[in-house]
Amino acid sequence: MSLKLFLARRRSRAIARILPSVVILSWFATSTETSIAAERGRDPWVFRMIFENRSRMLVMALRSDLWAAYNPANGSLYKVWNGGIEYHGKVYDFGQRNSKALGQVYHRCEKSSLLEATDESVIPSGWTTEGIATGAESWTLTNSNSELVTRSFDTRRYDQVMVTYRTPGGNNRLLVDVSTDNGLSWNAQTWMSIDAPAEDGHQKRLAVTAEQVKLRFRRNTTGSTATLADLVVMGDYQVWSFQKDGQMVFPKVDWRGYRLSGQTDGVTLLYDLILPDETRISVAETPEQVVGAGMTRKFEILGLPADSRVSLELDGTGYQAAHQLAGAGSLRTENDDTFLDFVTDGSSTLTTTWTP
Amino acid sequence: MRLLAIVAMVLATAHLGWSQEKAMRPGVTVWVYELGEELRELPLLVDGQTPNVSGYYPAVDFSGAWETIYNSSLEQYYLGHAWGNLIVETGGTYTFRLTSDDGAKFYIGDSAALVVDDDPAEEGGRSASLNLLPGTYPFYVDFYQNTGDARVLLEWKPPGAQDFVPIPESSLETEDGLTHVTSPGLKNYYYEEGAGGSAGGPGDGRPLIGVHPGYDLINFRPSDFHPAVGGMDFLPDGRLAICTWDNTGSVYFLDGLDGDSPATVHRFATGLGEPLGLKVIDGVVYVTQKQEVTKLLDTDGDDVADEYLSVAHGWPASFNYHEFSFNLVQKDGYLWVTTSVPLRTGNTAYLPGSEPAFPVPHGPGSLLRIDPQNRTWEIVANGLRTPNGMGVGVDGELFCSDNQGEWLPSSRLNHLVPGNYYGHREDPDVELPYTRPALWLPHGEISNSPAEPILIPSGPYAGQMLIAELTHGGINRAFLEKVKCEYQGAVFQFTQGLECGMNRLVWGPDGSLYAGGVGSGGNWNWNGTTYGLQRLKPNGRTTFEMKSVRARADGIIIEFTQPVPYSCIGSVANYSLQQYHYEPESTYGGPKYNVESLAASYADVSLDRTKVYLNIPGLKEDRVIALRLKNFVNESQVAPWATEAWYTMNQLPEDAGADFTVMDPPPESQIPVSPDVSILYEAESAENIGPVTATEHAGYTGSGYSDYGNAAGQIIRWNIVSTHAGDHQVAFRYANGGTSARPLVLSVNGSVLTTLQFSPTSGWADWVTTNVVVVNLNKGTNTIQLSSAGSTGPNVDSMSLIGPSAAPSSAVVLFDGTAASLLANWKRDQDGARPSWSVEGGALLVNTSPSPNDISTIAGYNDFTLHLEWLSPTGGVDQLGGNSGVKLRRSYEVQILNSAAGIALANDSAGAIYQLKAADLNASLGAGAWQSYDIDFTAARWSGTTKIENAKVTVRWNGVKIHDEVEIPAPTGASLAEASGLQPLLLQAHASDASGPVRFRNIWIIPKDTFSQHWQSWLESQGIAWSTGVEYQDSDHDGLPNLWEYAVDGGATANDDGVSRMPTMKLVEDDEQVYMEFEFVRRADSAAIGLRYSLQTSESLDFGSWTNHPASQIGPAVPIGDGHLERVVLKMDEPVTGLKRIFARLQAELIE
Repeated sequence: MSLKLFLARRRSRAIARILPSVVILSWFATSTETSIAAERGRDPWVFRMIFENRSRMLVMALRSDLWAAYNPANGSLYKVWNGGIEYHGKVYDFGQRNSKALGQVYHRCEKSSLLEATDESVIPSGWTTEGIATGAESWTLTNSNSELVTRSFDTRRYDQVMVTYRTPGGNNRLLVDVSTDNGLSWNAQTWMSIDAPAEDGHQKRLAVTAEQVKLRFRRNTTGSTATLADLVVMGDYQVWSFQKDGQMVFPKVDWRGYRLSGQTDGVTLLYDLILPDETRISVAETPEQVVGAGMTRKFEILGLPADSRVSLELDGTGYQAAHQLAGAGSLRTENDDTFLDFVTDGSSTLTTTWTP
Repeated sequence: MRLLAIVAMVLATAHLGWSQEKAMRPGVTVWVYELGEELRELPLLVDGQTPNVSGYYPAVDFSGAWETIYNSSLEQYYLGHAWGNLIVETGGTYTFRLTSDDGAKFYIGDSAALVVDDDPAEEGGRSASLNLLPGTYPFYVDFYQNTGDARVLLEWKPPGAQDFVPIPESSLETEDGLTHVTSPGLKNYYYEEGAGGSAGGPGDGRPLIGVHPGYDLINFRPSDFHPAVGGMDFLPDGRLAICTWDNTGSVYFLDGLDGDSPATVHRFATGLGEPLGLKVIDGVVYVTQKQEVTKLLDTDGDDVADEYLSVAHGWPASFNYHEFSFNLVQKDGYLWVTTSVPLRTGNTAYLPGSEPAFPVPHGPGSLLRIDPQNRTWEIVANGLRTPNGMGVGVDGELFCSDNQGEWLPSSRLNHLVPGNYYGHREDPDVELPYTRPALWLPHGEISNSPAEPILIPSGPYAGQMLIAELTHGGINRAFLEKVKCEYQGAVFQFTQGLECGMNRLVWGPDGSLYAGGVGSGGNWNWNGTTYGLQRLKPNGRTTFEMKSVRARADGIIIEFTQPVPYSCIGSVANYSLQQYHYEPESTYGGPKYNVESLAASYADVSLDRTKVYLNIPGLKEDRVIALRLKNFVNESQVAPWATEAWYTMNQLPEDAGADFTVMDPPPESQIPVSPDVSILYEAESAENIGPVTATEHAGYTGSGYSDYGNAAGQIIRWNIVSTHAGDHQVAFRYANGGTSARPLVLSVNGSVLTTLQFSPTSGWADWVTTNVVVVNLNKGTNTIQLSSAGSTGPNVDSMSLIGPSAAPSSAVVLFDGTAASLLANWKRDQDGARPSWSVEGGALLVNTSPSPNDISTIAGYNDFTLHLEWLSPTGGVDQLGGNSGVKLRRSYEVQILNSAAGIALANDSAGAIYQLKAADLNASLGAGAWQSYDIDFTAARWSGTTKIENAKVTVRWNGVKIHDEVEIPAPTGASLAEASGLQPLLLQAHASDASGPVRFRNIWIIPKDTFSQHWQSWLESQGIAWSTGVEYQDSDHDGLPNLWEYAVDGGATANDDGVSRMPTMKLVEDDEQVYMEFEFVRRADSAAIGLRYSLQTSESLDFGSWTNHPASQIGPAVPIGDGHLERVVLKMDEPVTGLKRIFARLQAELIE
């Protein structure tokens, strides 16, 4: 009998080489105009991915502990956080889910979702239900008359509104109806979701828009059980607005791309705001980290028509934000919302710091 | 219970420190493949096929049938593969026990650290032990099932445990998030050893193994650069730009592609989101990412992209992982991109209701046309599923491949035209007319996931297309033609032997084809590969294969790359044909419907023998025609590179027949030819250890010759495969411009044979061939080498190897020079004992004692083609002159004797049908020479125990026809009486005074299907199980018994196609007499499949009261439709005038 040595290895696949997310920090404090970059938090440090169920996002690892994600569809800063990314997807772990942020969220665009109901142990406020049992994992529609009706939400300032939810367990067939008149009638849009594995979720684009949209969930007659969990209605909120002659409009955002300076010195996002008469206002936004939980965003606006104002809604959930502005713009607070305004072409640097 | 005690030390690895790992889940993944026939042991699966069942299971504990998504359960005749990782928490000795029915094997660890083999299955299972340290270990269990109970159970006894327990789910894990790709239908398999299985060799029912001989494979990427290639194009400066589908999403430039060192790699851009298309336009790199086409600009000249500008973006898409944006093609001033549909673990994601059912409609599964000036996009075609691969093909038109799945029964190549809908539904219940593919790519046979198509600009296949293939691996070749203004054509296997499943193709400035590969988890890869980048450089060699297949109204025309001997290309038996039909269905993939065998009725060959028109009755539209060549060789006895082609017959053209001048079949040769063949082996293609390949002196064959250096012991070594063991001859072509002989030592299989003196020739450009030397070879691989004995050697150009020819691939080899083939196939005819004839030097020697000592085959045959070689030595007089014979069915002898050439022959000389007929010509090569018989034999036909037709035979002696369809009315000489059924061949041990025994070698036979086998195949194709009396049953209750349905090509279980198959009878008056006439429809090939029609009458209808009556056919048979049916009138010879009451019937009978 001979002794042999065998190596037990993981089956070797070309798993992507990802650099560990901790790198040595070295930078110098200097004026905000020419901040010299820290070592970035990843290579590549500016990248596109499906992130938290939104496609085409632009993510940047400004620093190993300062990450920002922009949404090119609406020219908004979607999220700022500190803990890196849990990577999922065919090019990350061969899986079917997508990536999400880790760690502490400093900023999340306040209106990035219209409705989030992820605690199934309660009935969310403003909902009406019949025959629904709460639970740790899901709401259960216990009989053929069961239904859940959400509170109403306003979709008028959103593009690409997606309804996402899960139906844990087997043999789940839910009928979903949409009302655009606050629940008086239910034939604006309807669909049926059929069985899916528990990990996988359902997603459907809302084809209708109104001030008072509600969703209703019922059992389909062929399903013998039905559950609902993690209902999130998300969309691309119109953060940019334009006012002239007392009229307010919400320009369409045309993503133009981005510029890198050096390889890691900085990044500038480029997008156009298109007014109803096809006039384009170009925006160049250069984000950069500042020490601690903070960011500068330098905006350059070009092509603003005379006697008009273009505004960016800044609010976010997460930490408390404190803004300081230098340059051509101004800050304005109105009805609990904070805006960065421009009335002329020019550049302006917004410095935001976040505290818990 | 047998305990195999294998004890080994196993080390677990240190954690490798990846910050990201593959997603895993508990349990095992199981793939089950339906094989459809009795398995003699655990079979091997042909590469590149998808399973019928794919799913996750908590443990290796299976019994009973497997549910499929195709509305059937899989109960019998299948192969299963369960795999995953075993998680070991506690170190120590683990004993594994595998229990199975019918058989299984368990492998654990990379390179099978432990194998538990329970095949054949044993009572209580089998077990084995292994010492394991904590860690995870890849494992798999292969299992198979014939009929009856099915069971697979894997148990273990962890350290310290007393009893076996099933390995629990918590100790098993497997990859999560797999797309469970499946397809219905039977899969191909073979066995590790020996014959059997449904596949032939590589390129013949199985994927190719190597690189196409017309290309040299060149590796140029640095070994530490592992690109998963999503797009490729060349920059104006000759560098190659590639983008990678990986977690960095980068663009690299490769330089120095042609040098001796690996290419240099420079990263130009990074951070793209799954880039799957790349195009260089006016020197600028454009890429396609998920839902954006991006232009990459280097504005400061440092060769790194500074601007990532959006050219077009924002077409409708959800965040589903499978909504890819593929390709980037420039055509007509636009950029073209395709998108794929959302999937939920393999099935299309549908939420049907008031809107189209995709999560986000009007975008996925489309062709987009992008205006790069205005930065706008427009969806111009849809109904695609996963169109990974698009390119400009024939006629400058746009083509894309599409991957099998829901609504796509098999992968396909589409001709893209704006406005078309290609069949993948956005709403599962909405059926719309869809555009047929230019090519169907039958699933698992030629393709699983086709990728980029590209036009071939030059060379022998100019104007055709190549299609990269991702999970089946390699690259396929497509020939397209236009029939009634739409593209259709044929697909062929082209190359394998690459380092990855291939995704993208581009032609380089040096004329090479660059291929970039990719792969992911689960089934989304070829052999587990995930990256690759190589190139194929054309080397100018012509490869023997089918060049094209074109459609005619009534057949097909095949063109070959080289001329084919007439006897091969003109023989309809060498073309195996089938047609079937695909229907889009909601299941993942779909079966072949209406599978029908076809047969060519005749072949017309072109004057240069590179083209053949096959007339094929019964061709239908909206079908795939599957063609497989059998026993095909070119003039140098080389088999085709691949034997299969799949022609997509969407429409039949108007034109019929051949479109070239047809040659007359060549007259039979009257010059006898030795059965020996000579195969040339170039010295420069051999293993040269010391000698270098040179071209300085003209007159060599091939690409050069081997030039010995100035040292002893330099070697030219040929590694050859011989299909026949025993004596062969070798001769060498060489030049020696020196003044003295230059000896080389000849060794065979490691043993020195002799030293050959290579005498001076009249100059270095004067090439001569040595005399032959006898060498003894093994069956299988051999080495023959020449090594320098002195301080130099001659220039050696080539070696010729002379010996018996190889048997055709479909032949059963009865004797191949080995004692094993004698024992496996032959018995002593007298008593069935082991034959006592000996084998020497690869020849079978007749042994006449103890008399009678004839040998006969263990198997029996009916009709067949037989080849055998014999040598009758000198000496002996008349019938004692080296007498032997081959007796067909033991009843009909073809004589063997040492008859000299040139003499008049009698009916007992060599070549005679013994005592019946002398050979038409004397084709003898004389006593002591190897000679051949090629015999085409048709057995007598029987109706019950009555012989109704005589046996017939055609014999060629050394290639010369000496008997042409000669009828043999009775057993020859004293041979055995005739009988029906399968009968063996017999070789005679006859008294002889010759100088030595008669010898045989190279015996093979190709049996033809008996009529009974043909009938059984038809029953199987109709889904009817054979049972006694099945021919009289009426399985579809339409009044026609099964045998009649067979005879008239009706559907035994389906409706007949509008032509009534009921025979009609009428009474006709002729010359004041009344006769019965039957008119009926039958298959045009009835006689060829053993069907005989007779008229019978009875007075009472009682069983046994029917009597046959002679009948004659009135007029010729009239073809119906495409000619595979004909209408026939039979008139009874005797009148029925005056009979008051008579019952009559038309009977179809299957004769033997």
